Amino acid sequence: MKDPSEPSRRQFLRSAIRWVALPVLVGSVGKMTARKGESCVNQTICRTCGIAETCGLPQALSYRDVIKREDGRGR
Amino acid sequence: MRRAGAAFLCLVAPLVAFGQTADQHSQPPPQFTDYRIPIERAAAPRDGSFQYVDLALLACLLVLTAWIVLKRRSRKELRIVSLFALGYFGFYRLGCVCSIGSIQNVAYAIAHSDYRLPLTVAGFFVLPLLAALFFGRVFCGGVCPMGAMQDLLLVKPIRIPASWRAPLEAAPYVYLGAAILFASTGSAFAICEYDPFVGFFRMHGHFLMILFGSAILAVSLFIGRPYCRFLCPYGVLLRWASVFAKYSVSVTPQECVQCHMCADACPFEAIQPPAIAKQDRTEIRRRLTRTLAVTPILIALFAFAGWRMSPMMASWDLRVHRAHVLRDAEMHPPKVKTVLADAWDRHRKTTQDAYVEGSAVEHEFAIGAPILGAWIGLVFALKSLSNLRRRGSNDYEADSSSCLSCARCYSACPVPHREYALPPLPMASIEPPEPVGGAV
Amino acid sequence: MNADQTGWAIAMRRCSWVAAGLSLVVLIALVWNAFASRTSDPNPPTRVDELVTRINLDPSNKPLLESLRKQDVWLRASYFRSVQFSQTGFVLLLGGVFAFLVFAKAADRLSGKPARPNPNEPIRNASELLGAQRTVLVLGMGMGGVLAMVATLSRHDSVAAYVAAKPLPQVTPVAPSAPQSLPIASPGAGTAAPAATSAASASSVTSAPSGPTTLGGTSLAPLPITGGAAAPPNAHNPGKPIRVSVAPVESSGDWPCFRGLGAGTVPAWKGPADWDAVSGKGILWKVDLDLPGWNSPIVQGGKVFLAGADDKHREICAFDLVTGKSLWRLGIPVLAGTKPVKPSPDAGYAPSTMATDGKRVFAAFVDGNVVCVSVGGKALWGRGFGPLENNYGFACSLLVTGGKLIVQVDQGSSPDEGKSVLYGLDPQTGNTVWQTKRTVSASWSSPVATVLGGKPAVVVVASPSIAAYDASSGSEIWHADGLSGEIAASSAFGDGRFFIGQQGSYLMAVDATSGKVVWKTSDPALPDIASLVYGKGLVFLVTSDGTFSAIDGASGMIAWEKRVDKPAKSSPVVVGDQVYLLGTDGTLRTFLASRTFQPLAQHRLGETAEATPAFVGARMLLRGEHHLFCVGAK
Repeated sequence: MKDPSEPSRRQFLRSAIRWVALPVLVGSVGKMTARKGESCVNQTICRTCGIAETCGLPQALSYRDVIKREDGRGR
Repeated sequence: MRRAGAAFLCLVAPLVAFGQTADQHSQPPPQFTDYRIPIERAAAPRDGSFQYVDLALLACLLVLTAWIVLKRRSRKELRIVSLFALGYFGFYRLGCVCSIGSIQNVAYAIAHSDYRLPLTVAGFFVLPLLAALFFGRVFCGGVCPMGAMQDLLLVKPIRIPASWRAPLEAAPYVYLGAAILFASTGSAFAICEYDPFVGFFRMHGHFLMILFGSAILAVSLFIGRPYCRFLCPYGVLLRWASVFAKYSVSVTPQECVQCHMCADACPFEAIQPPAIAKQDRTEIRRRLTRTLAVTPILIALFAFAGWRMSPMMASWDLRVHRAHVLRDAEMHPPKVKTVLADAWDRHRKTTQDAYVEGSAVEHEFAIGAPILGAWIGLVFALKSLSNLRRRGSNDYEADSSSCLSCARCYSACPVPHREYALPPLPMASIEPPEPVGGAV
Repeated sequence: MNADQTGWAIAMRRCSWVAAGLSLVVLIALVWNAFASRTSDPNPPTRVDELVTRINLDPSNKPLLESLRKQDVWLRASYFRSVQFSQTGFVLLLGGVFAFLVFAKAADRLSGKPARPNPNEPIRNASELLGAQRTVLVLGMGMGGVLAMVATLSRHDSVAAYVAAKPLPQVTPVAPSAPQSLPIASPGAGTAAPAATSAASASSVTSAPSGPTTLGGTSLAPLPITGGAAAPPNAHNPGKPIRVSVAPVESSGDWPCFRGLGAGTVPAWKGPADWDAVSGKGILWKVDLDLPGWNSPIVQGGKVFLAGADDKHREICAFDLVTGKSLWRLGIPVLAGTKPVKPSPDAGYAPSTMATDGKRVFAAFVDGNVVCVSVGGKALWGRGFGPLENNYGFACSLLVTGGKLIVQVDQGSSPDEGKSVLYGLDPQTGNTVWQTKRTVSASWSSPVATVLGGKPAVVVVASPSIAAYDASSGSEIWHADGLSGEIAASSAFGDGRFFIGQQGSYLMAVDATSGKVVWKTSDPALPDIASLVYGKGLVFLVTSDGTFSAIDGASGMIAWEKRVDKPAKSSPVVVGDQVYLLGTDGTLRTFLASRTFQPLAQHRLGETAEATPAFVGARMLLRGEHHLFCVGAK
């Protein structure tokens, strides 16, 4: 392993970019995670999703509507 | 002969098997009965707290891999970790959520402020990049199940000439750009749809997916990690992050003796030979000037192509496709209404609604497709320029952005580790032998 | 490499070959299973679809049903055995491939040559990189150029252009309007119709009819065939009429056509609340019918008229409305040059309901023959409109309106074939007064009489449109596109709109004035045979498998939809505030014409029935398979 104490301009630049990138990365992704709202956990495939019965996303509402019709028509 | 046999088995065998098992649900309903086929319901997903287990495991494995690669320098221990990762993240978690696919969720979240990025996805996106910022591509070395699968199958690596390798190495950038475009417009999660390995993890998949995966695995018998090096879009991000890594792989534990054996042992051509003393700088300057002059043309060509092809690219979006189908049905009413038109009517929407929705998507592509084109042009230009870059080191070094932290080079390097080096032989302590037969 | 390592390398290599061999065997077995499993049975069973066809023809055949079930079970078991074999084989194959790889890698490692230093590598690498630089640049330029060229030459429709284009008639839900009777409206901005062609000239009788022949006690006067075109009659050259009769009279029948002049609605009927044809309760009279036919009865001047036909005979009968006494039965010969048609069992030889103009009655048969007989039973003229290019033959009912006999000849598998024609004949002579070509495909719906712009008009339906024509001239007033498939149901009318729906297509509401589509939906179970009817702000639909629906006429929303589980091919009739639905099982069910489903009563006919009831005064006429019933209060 290289000796990290060896100074160089390249090392300094790398270090600076690294310590800038870290909070930017974590901060921006964290912000997207902290938004309010529901997320789809099954790539919008409601039929095989275990939480389709209670999900509030529009595609789940549509899916439940279709299932109700299918049940009613005996299909 | 062995290679041909291996390729045949790996490519054809899964196709035949999957072809038979793939579609188990196509049985028609029984005739003349009152039996109603029950609607399938999936089992409830596992408890939400397990996502923290996955993230914790990911973080632990990243740290462990970094320690094994950088400190322990042990390929054997690394193989154990990667096998475990293959088993857990690949076959147990079925390859989803994966870091590669997380790019799309992040792109979608950036483009849609009402979409909340799930914590698991965020973790799988961020943690390997953070690890790369400090330790290099340790994610590729010991955690990624796709890489582990390809690594496992590598039997006899062959060297790809640089003229072939360089254009292929541009492909992940193109794939990344296209995946971001389609994900951010909400059109498709292309990385997931065309994932070659998930069919093997799930033991189920459609024919083309399995064919593609089989081809990749067959190639990986002889070419080290072809997907990782020439397709993986997440690898592009890891590359960029690894450039700034604090700690990176050092092939030799002490001094480099310029024997080239590490470069021979590396199946990924990630170890760079040292700079040669004499290099024709004039030729390099000429090529540099030419490349820089051509760069704007390249960018413009691809951007123009992207702009012209944006309606075609947009038609891959379901909303645009739907608008086209409804328009066709309006102009030439079919005998039996299409399923799509029927579904649209059930939502009580007019065809104008469909057109407006599709038009909005086309507008997004009209902006995004030229940008993608320009990006591709830029990638080609920069790839060309990178081959002119002067090597600064005098030793054989692993390029931190290309090195996949597989630890193969350690055992190839003949230089012993400082800890295991023998003490230097004493130079002045040899005494002359005793004369035989007494004093003179 | 020492001797020990060599030995191990050889052993590993041999193991890898064994593993490869085993994997190959499993692979061959899987391939064999994929292609050979279904055909290996020494006693190949009868195909399932043949059995299904035979069972459909003979549903009560238990041995046949049992045979089908056995066949079905065998096929399923065979399929799942095959799947099981594949799954096991796949696991074995995976294991074999894995073992092969492990042994091969081990053999390779043990027998590999030791690495050697290569000090010339940096020089080779530098020149290689320069080559790579050129390759990438050339490739980039090449790909960019090709893509740009392809992109320039390619054309792809943009959805944005559809948004900018003039919209085709669309679904636009509107607020409910006030109830109206039959529309009195000015002709709207409809699509210009093709000009009606000039009427064909009438020909005169050139030979006297042959003498009457008897058939079972009834007088039979075959229609003489004279003159006309030398070629056999066809849709584009219908046979010329053969006899001139009395002057035309305005249509003034009590129930003069299919579903009456109210398009299936009757303001009231003061019949018995409880009746039953099996016991005879509430039945005023019942007469035998010699020949089959699913056309509905029509009534004119106290007489009930029906047509019947089979492959050998056809006739028109007249009965007294009050007593049921048979007044006359007239045998109708097939017109010369008529191509024989084998109709489907659903349609029969006489599916079209007759029509009357007060002085004459008109009947049509499945081969396209249209005949005119006086109400007194005298044969007047006949014309051939066949052979038709449609699956069921001629099945549209006739209509007299605006002084014309309307004959709807819809045929062809595609509207673009242009073979469909709407005729307006002179009821007196049978001459063509006008004929209008229609860009529609084959249909079996019937025209509906209405008044538009103060003038008599007729509304007809066929894929892809519902259209209104001036009954006097045949010119198109409006049309509305949006239908598809084989239209059998006729339209309903109410509250200023026409309603039409067909299974596999849409239910549409069209403004009677302008022809604009007011709403369109495919939510309900749409009819396949029975016509629609409108009453109390609702459109009533019934499917042949017994789903009965009520749709809000203003918005197209489903008010209720119920499976009565009894097939029905007869069209529902709105009688006051009730809906009458006659099932094929011969049971007439009544429901409240309201926004909630409320069954009221059931009455038995005692035999299969598919014709639509006719209502005249306090009498209801029902045609069963073998009898004509008159229901009324004594």
